[in-house]
Amino acid sequence: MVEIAAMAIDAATLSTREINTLIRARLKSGPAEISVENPNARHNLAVALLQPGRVRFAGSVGYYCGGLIDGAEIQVEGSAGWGLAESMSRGHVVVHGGAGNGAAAAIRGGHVVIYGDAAARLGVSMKGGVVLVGGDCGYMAGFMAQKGMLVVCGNTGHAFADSMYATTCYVGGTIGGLGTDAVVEPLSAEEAEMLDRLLGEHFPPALRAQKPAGRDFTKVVAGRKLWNFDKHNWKTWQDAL
Amino acid sequence: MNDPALRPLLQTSGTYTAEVMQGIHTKAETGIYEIRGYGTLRQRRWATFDDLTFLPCGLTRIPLEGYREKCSTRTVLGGRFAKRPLELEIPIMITGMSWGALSYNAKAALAKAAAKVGTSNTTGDGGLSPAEREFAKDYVYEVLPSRYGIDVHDLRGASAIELTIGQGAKPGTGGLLLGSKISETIARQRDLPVGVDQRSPARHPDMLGPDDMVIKIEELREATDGQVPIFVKLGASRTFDDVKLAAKAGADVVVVDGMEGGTGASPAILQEHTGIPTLAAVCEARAALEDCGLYGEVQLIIAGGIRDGVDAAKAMALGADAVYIGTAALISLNCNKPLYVDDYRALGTEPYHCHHCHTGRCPVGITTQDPELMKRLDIDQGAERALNLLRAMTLEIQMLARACGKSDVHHLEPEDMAALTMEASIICGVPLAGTRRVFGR
Amino acid sequence: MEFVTENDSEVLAVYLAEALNRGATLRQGLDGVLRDMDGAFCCLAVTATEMGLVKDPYAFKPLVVAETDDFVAVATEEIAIRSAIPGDYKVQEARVEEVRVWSR
Repeated sequence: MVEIAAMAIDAATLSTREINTLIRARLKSGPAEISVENPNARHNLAVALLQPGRVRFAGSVGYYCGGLIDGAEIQVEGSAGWGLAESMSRGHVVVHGGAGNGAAAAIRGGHVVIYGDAAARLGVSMKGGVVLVGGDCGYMAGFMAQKGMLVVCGNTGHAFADSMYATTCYVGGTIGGLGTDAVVEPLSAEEAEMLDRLLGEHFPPALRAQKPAGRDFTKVVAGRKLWNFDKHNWKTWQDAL
Repeated sequence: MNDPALRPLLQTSGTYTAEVMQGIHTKAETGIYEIRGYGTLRQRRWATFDDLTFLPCGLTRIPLEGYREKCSTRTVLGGRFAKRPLELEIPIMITGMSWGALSYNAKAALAKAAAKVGTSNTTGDGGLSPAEREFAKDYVYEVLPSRYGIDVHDLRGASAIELTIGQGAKPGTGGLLLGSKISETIARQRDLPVGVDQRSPARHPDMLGPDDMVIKIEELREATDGQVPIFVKLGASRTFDDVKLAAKAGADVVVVDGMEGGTGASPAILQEHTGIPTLAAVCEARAALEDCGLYGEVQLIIAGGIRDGVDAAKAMALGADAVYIGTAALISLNCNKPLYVDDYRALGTEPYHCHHCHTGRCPVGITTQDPELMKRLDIDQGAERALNLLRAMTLEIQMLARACGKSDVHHLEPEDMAALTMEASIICGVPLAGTRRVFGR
Repeated sequence: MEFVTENDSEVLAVYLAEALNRGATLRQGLDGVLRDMDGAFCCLAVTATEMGLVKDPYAFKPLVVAETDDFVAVATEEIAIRSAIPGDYKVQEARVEEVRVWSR
C-alpha cells in the first residue's frame, strides 16, 4: 500500500505564492494529504495543481480556488469566492459552505460539489464534468453551457440554463425562470437512478437525506433554436442577441 | 439615338449605394443582419498611418548606411513582472487567429514562419491547435471569454499569456464561427455539437471588470509560476481609459487592436461601426501609459490593419513596442490571390475583393475546414511566403529607421514624422508638414 | 434634478441623498437605484440610523454579507471580512437585485 504523506501548512504567515509553491512541491514528490489552516478567504489558492493529491482548506477561500487544476482533490470547509475550479480539466472540488459567482466556470471535466448555495452564473460555459449544488443557485446558472451535467438540488434564480449547447441540467426545487432556449424534458427512470447515485456518492448521508429523491428532479436542456441562425426563430434570437 | 455620346448618364445615389441596396435586399430575404469576414471594408475617410510621413535625415541629422550600419530589431516584451520576458528577433508578431477560423495548414504555415524568423505565433478563440503544438517555437496563449479548448498544460507551455478582453474588429462582442466550419475536429476541440453556428460569449465567465482582472492576472501568474508575461488585449474603444486600467491592473504588456482589425466572421455593422481607428488608438494608448507613469515599463503592442513595414514603423514611432499582423499574414498565404478563380466566382466574388472567410469555402485553403480546399495551401510553401513577408517588413522598418538616423528600430519617435493632414497632426501631436506647427495641442 | 459627473459612485451617492431629502426611506432609495440605474454596481449606503445594500441585476459586481447576532458585515470579498473579524460565521454572496436594510 502506498503511504500517503501528510502535511500541514499555516497560511497565516505565508504569501499566496508561498502556499501554492509548498503545495505543488509536496504533490510533485508523490500523493499527499495537505491541510491548510487559516486560509482566510485568500484569492488564488491551489491554482494549477497538476498532480494527484488532496488539499483541505480549514476555512474559506477567495476567488479562483482550484482554478486550472488537472487531477487534484480539493476540499473547502468554509465558503468559496468567484470562479471556483474555473477551467479545471480533471479533479474533484468540494465546498462545504457556499460559492460565489461563476462557480465551475468553463470546466472541462471533473466534479465540483457545493453543499450550500451557489451564486450567479453557476457552470457558465462549462465544457464537461459534473456540477452538483446542494442548495440554491442564483441568476443565469448554466449560461452557454456546452457539455456535462449541472445539478441543483434547491431552487434556481431566473434565466436558468440560458443559451445552452449540450449540457443537461437537473433541478430539485423550483426553477426561478427558464433562460432563452431552455426547455423542460421528461426525466427518465435511468436518470432518476443516476441522480440518486450521484447524490449518494457526493453528499454526506445527513445532507443527502435533506435533498429530493432523484425522481423529483426536473430536467432542463437546450431547445436548440439558437444552434443555427434561422429567421423563423427571430423571437428567440431577439432575446439572445 | 445609338450614338454613345448621347447616352444618358447613370446616376447612383450617394446615400443608397449599390452596397446599401444589396444589404437591404439581403435583410429582406433572411431577416437577420449580414455576417462576413475580413474587417472594415468601407473606404478610409478617417486619419490613418497614410496621413503621416517620415522625416529622414538631411543636414540636421545624419543617416545610417543601409546594408552596412547596424539597426537592431531585437524586441523584449514583458519585463515589468515576468521572470522570463518574451525575447523576439523582430518587432512583428502573428496575432491570434483561431484554429477553426483558420485551417490546420494555415496555422502550421504561420507557426513555422514565426519560428524560423524568431518571433511568436498566437493561438486564438479555440485554444492551442495541433499545428502550433507541432511547429510553433514561441506561442502566445490567448485566454478569451469563450475559453474554448482551455488547457492548463497548453497555458503553461506558452511564452506569454494574452488575456483577451476584446478585439479590434468587434470590441464588446464575442467570436463567431458558423456551422460549416464546426467540423468534427473543431467540435471536439471546442466541446461543441458538430455544425452549430457557434457564438462566443462577450464577457469572461469568471471576471467582469478591472477589479476582478487584478485577481485574474494574479491567478494566471500563479498558474505559470510568475515566469511569463501577461498581456491584456483590448479592442480599441475607450482606449485611453482601458489602457490605464489594464496597466494599473498589473498587465506586463497591453495590446490595442484598432478598428481596421480583421476577423473570420462577425456582423458587418460591428466591423464597420465599432471601435476607433488604429492610428487614434496608438495615440490614446501611449498617452494613457504616460498619464499613469508607466510608459516604458508596460510595453504596447499595436494591431489592426498593419499592412507593411511602413505601418509598423509609424506605429512604433508613435509608441508601440511591437505590432501584430493578422490579415497581412493571411494575404501572404495567398488570400485573394488569383488562383482557382472559378471558386471565387462561385462565392459571388473575385480575387482582390473576397472577404468570404465566414463561408468556410476559402478558395486558397486558409479559412476553411474542408480538407480538399485546405490541400491548396501547402504548409511549407505557405511558411516560406509568410517568412518572406516578415523579413521584408523588417527590412522596411530598418530602412526607415536608418534613414532617420536610428541604430535601433525602437528608437523611432514621433519627432521622426510629420503629418500630411490637420487631423493627423491633432491626433498624433506631430507637426503638419509645411507649417512646422502641431495643431490642436 | 440634473446632476453630471464623471464618477459613477458619486451618481449613486447623490441619487440616494436626493431621494432621502424628498422623504424616501433608505429602502425606497435603494429600490429606486435598481429601477433607474444601468451598469455594473453594488451599493452599500449608510445613514445615521440605517445601513442598506443593493446588488445589480446582472451580478456584475461582487457583494458578500456576514450576519450574526453580534454584527452585520458587508464587503466585496470575504477576505476583507475575515481580515477584520475573527470567529466562526458564514459569509454569503448577495442575490441579484437584492435590497436589504438594517436599522439600529
